[in-house]
Amino acid sequence: MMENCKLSIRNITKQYKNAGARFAALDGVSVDIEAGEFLSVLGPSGCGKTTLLRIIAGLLSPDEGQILLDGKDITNAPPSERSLGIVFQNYALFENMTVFDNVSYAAKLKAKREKSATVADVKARTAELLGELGIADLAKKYPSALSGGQMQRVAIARTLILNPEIMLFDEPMSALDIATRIQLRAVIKNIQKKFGTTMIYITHDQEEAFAMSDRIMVMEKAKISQIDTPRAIVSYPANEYVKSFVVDNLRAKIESVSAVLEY
Amino acid sequence: MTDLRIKKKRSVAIGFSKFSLMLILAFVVVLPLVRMMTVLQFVDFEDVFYSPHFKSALINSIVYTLASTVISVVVAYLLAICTVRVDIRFKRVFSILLTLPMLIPSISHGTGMIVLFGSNGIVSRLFGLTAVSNIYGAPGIILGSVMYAFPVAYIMLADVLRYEDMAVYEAADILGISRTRAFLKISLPYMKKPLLTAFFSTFSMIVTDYGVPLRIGGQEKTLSSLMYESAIGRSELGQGAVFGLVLLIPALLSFGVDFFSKEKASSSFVRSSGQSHGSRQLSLRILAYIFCGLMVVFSLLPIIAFVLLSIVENYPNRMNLTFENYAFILNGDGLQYLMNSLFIGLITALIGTAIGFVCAYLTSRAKSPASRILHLLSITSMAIPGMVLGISYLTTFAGSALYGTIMILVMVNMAHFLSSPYLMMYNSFGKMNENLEAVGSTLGIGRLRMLGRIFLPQSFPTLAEMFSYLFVNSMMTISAVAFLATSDTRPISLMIKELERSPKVGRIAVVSLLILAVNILIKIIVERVKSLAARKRLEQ
Ligand SMILES: Nc1ncnc2c1ncn2[C@@H]1O[C@H](COP(=O)(O)OP(=O)(O)OP(=O)(O)O)[C@@H](O)[C@H]1O
Ligand SMILES: [Mg+2]
Repeated sequence: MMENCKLSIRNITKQYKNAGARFAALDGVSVDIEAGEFLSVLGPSGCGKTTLLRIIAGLLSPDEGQILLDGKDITNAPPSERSLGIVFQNYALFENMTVFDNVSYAAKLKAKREKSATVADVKARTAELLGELGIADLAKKYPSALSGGQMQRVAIARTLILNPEIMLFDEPMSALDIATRIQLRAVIKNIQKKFGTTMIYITHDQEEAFAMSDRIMVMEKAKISQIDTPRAIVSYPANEYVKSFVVDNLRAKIESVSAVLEY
Repeated sequence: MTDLRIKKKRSVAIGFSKFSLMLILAFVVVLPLVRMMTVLQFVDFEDVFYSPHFKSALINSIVYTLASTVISVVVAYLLAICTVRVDIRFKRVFSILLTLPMLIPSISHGTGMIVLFGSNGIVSRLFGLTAVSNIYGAPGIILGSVMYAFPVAYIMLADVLRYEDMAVYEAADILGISRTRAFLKISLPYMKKPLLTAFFSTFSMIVTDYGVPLRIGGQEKTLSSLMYESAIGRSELGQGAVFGLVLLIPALLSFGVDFFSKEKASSSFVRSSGQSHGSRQLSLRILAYIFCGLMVVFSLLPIIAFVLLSIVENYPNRMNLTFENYAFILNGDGLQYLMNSLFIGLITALIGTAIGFVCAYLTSRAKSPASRILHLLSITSMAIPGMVLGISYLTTFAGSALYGTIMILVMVNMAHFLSSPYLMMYNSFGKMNENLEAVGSTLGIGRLRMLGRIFLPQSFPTLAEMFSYLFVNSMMTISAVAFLATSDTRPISLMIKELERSPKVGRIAVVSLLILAVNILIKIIVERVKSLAARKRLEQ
């Protein structure tokens, strides 16, 4: 185990039934994630990325294996006691609440339950967060009036209000246009820096993974193919698959772009 | 290990709710049906099936229902095309006016046809056709059935058309495929399943209705009118149950078709993104105006006739203006019956909406093997005609403390009408974001709290819709309640049957208009409440 390990995923296995036959969605997946690290998960559709994320979040239980948070076994702990937040591609905002209430609701409940803060504290903290994410002027709007990028900012603020130590993202930008993506990248990286949050980030976009990550985890069919820094993956792809899925894809992109830029 | 215990407690609570709801549904739907089957063992089936009555009624039922169904569905489809696919003005007004006949009991439409097209009918007199006009029998049954059935089919088909992906047509346009070809090759195949569903559900609705054929059939009997006569007229429950069994067949068939076509249809088509205004071709628009206009006139005829009849002393002999008909109804038992209906409608709507909501939540957002069973139980009642339900309840509860109470009417209405509002909510839950529970549990918002603070408020428009459906149907139904109502608990829709003995049709007109008025009022209130809720969110 590494020295500064925040989250340790050990030998996780998960099987599903499909048309009567069992198959593995995750097959002995192990990874240690450092505190404050940004880890991207890259892999083709159906390789088990979302399943892994849901198991980390406690929304699914694994068939086998353990999850340790700061060395403590949380494999069976409920999601709300894992100090993590999750952000989805389709936002999953509370449509019937204003932006402000979306963000503050969970914190209000928690403050009431634990008598840890006053309503005024929660409100102040919410306003502060909205400001940090650049959506202060949207506080009174309902989600149906927002753009995709704005909704994703609200979703991020909603998880941040509980000060999670880990944030999970499941393709948070797949539904957004490129300009918005690049803005949001900066927002997310800023949060990571400012709060020291550990981030696990699923994406389909190789370039995004390379731009944002400390390390990238490449998956293929329920297994990890390689975990390494972006530079190491490009220089030393672990096998043919990683080379073609990550490196070649990236090359193709660079070539097509530079061809246009150079006329 | 406290964490696991919490998890367990939660799933126990959900399992328990599912189990209780299954018990309730089994009690109000399955048990009576089973009980009815046991009555059948005392019936001489041959006696019933080989009687000449039965054979002619069977043929009549099939022929008349088939004719009414084909007309209703074709008219409904054309109207749906006119109001969805052709660029005409007043679309909303047209749709509202076209669906008004749905808000009057079928039994009123029998009377409606008589006062319009009978030998002394308003229309017959207007065109000097009094001598040749014979509305009793086939023409009356078919016209009257079309009257209340086509709006139902229209709503179904217009809904499907509205959700069809218009991008296909745009693509066809760009490829230079003509509109006629696009209609034949794209629209019709797309509509095959919805048309089939509409056909079967309209068929089963018409074939199980006794209101129209009993009133206007004359010598022509149908299975439903025979069933009414034997079970209610002569109290021969066993014989009635046999007819009921036969009527169960088309209902089950329609249920099966609906069940299987829905399973597939939902996945293969996406909602259109852009709202299209429809064809702007002048000739099409003119045709659409003419057709919609004619059908609106047809829909409004009975209502206009009722208004006229209700305010004259005795059509057609004494045409002086009077409110005597209103006074008779509201001073006599009518007011009591109206109150009964309002009470039954309100309670049915409240309980039904609540049960439908909870059931839909448990089957769509707390999935488990038990959800399947609960889902099936919630929709089976759709397959049971009201009269069959009525006779089942009678055989099961006669003599019990429930019998003769308002509660048994509420129960039977619930059993009868629950499936549609349940499905409304089920579909609406299905459309809500699938990650909401995941968000709730990571943020530490409990299941119950999510239900109350997130799902319930978001379901508001659907809940209003469910409430209105249950209320309006309770207001109009005559099928099941005819077997169970007593003079104290009788709902106002059944008063029409009673009044048919009196020569004063004005009184029937008053009752029909009262029911229509209440239903319109409910619809308006529900729409207002819905748009207020929607506006609150948009204002910001
Ligand atoms: N509840 C379930 N029941 C059965 N099979 C499932 C279930 N959930 C996921 N699977 C299957 O498990 C495999 C992994 O699914 P998962 O959602 O983790 O993939 P993914 O990597 O997130 O894919 P994508 O990139 O498309 O989101 C897939 O083959 C999927 O069909
Ligand atoms: Mg996924």
